[in-house]
Amino acid sequence: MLETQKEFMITVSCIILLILTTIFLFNRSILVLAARNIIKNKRRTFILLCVIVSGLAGLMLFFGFADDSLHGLREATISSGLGHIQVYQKGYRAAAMPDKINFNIPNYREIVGIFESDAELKKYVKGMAADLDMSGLIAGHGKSTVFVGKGVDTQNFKVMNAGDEITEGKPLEHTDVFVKPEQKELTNEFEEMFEGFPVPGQDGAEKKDAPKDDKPKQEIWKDSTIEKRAANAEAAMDDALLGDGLKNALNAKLGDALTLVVSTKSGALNALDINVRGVILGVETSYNDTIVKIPMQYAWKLMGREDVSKICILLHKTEFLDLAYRRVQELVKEKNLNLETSTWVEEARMYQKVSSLLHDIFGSISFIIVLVVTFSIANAMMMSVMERTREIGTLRALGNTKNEILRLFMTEGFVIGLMGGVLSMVVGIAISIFMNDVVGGIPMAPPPGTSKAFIAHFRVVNNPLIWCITFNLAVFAAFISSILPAKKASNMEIVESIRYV
Amino acid sequence: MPQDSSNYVVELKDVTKKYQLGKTEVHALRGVSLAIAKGEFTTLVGESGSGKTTTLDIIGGLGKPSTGKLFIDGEDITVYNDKRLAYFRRKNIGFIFQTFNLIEVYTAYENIAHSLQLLKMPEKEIKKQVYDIMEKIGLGKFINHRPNELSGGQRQRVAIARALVKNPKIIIADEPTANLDSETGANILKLMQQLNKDLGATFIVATHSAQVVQVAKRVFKLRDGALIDSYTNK
Repeated sequence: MLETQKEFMITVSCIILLILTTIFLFNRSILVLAARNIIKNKRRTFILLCVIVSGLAGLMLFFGFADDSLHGLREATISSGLGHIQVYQKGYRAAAMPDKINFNIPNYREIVGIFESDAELKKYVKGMAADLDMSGLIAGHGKSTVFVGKGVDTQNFKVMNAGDEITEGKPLEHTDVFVKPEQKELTNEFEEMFEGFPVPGQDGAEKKDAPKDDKPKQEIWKDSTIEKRAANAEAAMDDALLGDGLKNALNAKLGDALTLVVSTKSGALNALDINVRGVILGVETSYNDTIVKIPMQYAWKLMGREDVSKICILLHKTEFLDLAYRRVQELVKEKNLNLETSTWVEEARMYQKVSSLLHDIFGSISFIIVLVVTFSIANAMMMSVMERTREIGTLRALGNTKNEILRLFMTEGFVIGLMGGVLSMVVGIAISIFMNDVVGGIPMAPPPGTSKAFIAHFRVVNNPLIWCITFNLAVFAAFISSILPAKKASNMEIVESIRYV
Repeated sequence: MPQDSSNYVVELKDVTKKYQLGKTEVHALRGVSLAIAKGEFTTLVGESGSGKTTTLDIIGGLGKPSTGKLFIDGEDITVYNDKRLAYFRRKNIGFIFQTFNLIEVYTAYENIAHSLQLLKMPEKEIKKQVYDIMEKIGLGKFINHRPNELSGGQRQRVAIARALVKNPKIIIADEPTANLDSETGANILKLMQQLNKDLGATFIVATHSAQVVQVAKRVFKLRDGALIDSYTNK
């Protein structure tokens, strides 16, 4: 079941539960008597409401905080090039890491064309781009380390990668006009490093993985130099963005030439120089420590192939995910495409971990708060039962049944819960507005595994799910806690209780 | 005991009541048999612990006898379960307690109306009947007063009105004048007599008061849980 469907189901079931409880309890004279007793015991009611409100408004704020953190993480993850929906060649996701390359999409332009021309999908889609995954070694300034690279579509780069903060330099820009590349020999340093490894096009190297290029293979190996844009030289084919951590690890600076070394499909090594155009800072530390993004054409040249790992689809709003995803799946089926699809949630492991952690914490805190609220209300109601022993006896003598006495006290619990639920929502919303708009949020250090400090806000105001949860927890806690005292009240001996002093 | 049982609204046959008080078994009633005719003003007299209140509780369906039978209008109510007893009480029994036992959060009107609401009477009818009885007991002006805004005598009048408004077969009153000063007690007694005459309701009153015993038509005397005497006042 998708996330929005789950939320909808929770909301609807809570409302149904509330309506059923109201119907079960509703009896005018019982309601009047319950309400009068609640009003009569003002101090006790006030204390009970304080207990409920302090617990549940706090819970509401925590939920709002967690939701805001998750929302931020979600949007940052989606807009770091991942998109909302990913489309792969069938078998890609199940394949082991080294074998994934065998499941790249060769006809991606045709597939993108199908998606782009669909009128329904068009309503939801903000941008679409293919990328090519790769990994290998990056070297420069006498240092080398591993990198996880992406060949990216420069045309849609800014749209698809808006979540990557450019901390230095400029983002990748689209260019399709190149000057004639100048030749550059492999540096001595790298010749020494890869001495003995097969070089594409040379004897012993696998030839079938070589790029579909008219140039001789030896030429491509050496054609690792900058291809500058003709007119203003603003964008170049070998421009690259480095993760912030990776830049620090290599002591790289803007404009530095670094070398990427990768293994091609056949296992042969290939290397190309890149020019550091900018430094990016994503959410995850591991991402920042390894990421290199280069234009797709250059990635093809490096990898010796012209296909892509996946097609990423970015939507105008994450709320469109269910509809858009369903349409993508329909298109894949209708056109009989050999593709598989996934949503961002399945790909975002960091998000999954953080989400799971926050949900566990939220669950535990909710449980404790509900327990405290339940016991507090139960204690107060038990006192109320003792104080009203004679009233209970009188009502029983007048002809009220045990069940009616039970309902009377459960109605009191329910009414206190309703009042507590409404007040908790009002107080929670008021505090969240104050914290967000007046205080401006709470500055937070980067959570474990992430690299960005952030300002925490409380997503409470436009969050009906949390209103629903808070309100229902208040009613639930008050209602549950009233069962035992109500049971005690209904089972009192009439003859003893009518003469209780 | 009279011969024709169809005239009796209450018949107790060899009723005993035992209960545990710690490790001691207390015999509250020891084979009490009595019959009360419809519309009679009856008193149960005896010292404290003689079994008056226990007898009233059993007649009112508040407790069950350990052994013996209780017939109300010819029907054995000792076989009723708790729910049926509650329905029986709401229709057939009106209670007047020594300590008034009004619902504190209700007004005088609501206290009286509650008995009729339990009978699912329409609101319009309830209003009419409550206003009528409030006028009869002379508390028309206090209809919206809460019990804590009324004097002891006024509270007991409201309690009497609550017991009578549903026109029950039996009115059970446990020491109704004990918490009132003598003048107020006399007024309450006069009121009960008047209502007994006007409405024809059967009154069963447990009392220590000689004044009450004097006005009762029939008197049952209890001692140590046993009926020791009964007589009719002329």
